Amino acid sequence: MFNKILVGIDGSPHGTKALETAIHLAEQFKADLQVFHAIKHHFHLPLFPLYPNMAFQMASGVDLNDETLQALYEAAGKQIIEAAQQHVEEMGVTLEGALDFHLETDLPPSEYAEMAAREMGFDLIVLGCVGHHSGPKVALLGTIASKILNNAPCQVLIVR
Amino acid sequence: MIDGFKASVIVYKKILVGIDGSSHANKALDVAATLACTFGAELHVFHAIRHHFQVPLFPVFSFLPNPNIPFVPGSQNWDGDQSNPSDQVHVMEQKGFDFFEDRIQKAYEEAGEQIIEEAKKHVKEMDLQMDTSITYELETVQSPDAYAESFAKENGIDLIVLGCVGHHSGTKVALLGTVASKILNDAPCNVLIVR
Repeated sequence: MFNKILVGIDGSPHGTKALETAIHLAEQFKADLQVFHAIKHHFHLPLFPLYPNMAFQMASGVDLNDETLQALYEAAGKQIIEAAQQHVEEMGVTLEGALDFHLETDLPPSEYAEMAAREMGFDLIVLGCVGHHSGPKVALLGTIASKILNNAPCQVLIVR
Repeated sequence: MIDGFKASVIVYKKILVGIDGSSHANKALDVAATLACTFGAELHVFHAIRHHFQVPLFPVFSFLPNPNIPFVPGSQNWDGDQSNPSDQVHVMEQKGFDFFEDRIQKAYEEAGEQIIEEAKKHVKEMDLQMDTSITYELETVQSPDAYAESFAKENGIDLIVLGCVGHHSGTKVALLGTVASKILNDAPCNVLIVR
């Protein structure tokens, strides 16, 4: 039923749960799976320096121009992708379909997911209901998940 | 290793799917039944008639002799009056809204039963090899989102499957329908939106 699954992660607990669910579904349906993290959405947030290394950069007076920011988020994004790779290895699941990890540095997550679904033919997008910046008390749907839900051309699974 | 095996074989054990007779809902039913079959999960199918009541112009349907609108069985029989719609609206204004409420409820219940019957037929035609049970529920009191939320909580549902838009959203709506949005926000479990 599902041949190509796309899952978005951001290092948050719900993102990790989405990743686990996507892995299980990919295994069950022998589907290809792409895990992606898009760094761009942090740029829109007023309180972006959530990561400890960024707080350090701020405190040390580094000029946070766009390039520096991009580099910082790329570094943080790489860590998120690596953590996901490790997590998948630890799950000990063997996938028959292809598995790849993608760090998206240009497009914001909702645009990337939409583009990928249209151009690469993903038929299921798996997302956590809320991500990092939504805060721990948010019971409703996060902004990125909402955007993707409205724009996606394919089925969307929201994981809680 | 055994734990890993178990975890990866069973993701969903109890699946709830909401239907309203629309094409997206039928697709959602397909997907839910296939998933239930794949995961060996219980499948619960429901239709809640009450959300139509919140649509402000619902009685308009009753006056339209349109065969494409399946919600209004017996609509020609209001007071045995076959006259034109504006006359019937006039009767409605005279007799007051409550006079019609029972009939509306009844009409929607009948239509709901029809939707449930069609769903049963559809699932039967899919001819799935299911080891687990399927239940069908016509909810006549609660709204679909309230029903889905309480049912999911009480019965430990781990996946709700929904069409992205239902009947009253119209065919041109690309975004998420109101009922699906509400359920998405309130559901205690995973939600799959089918397009």
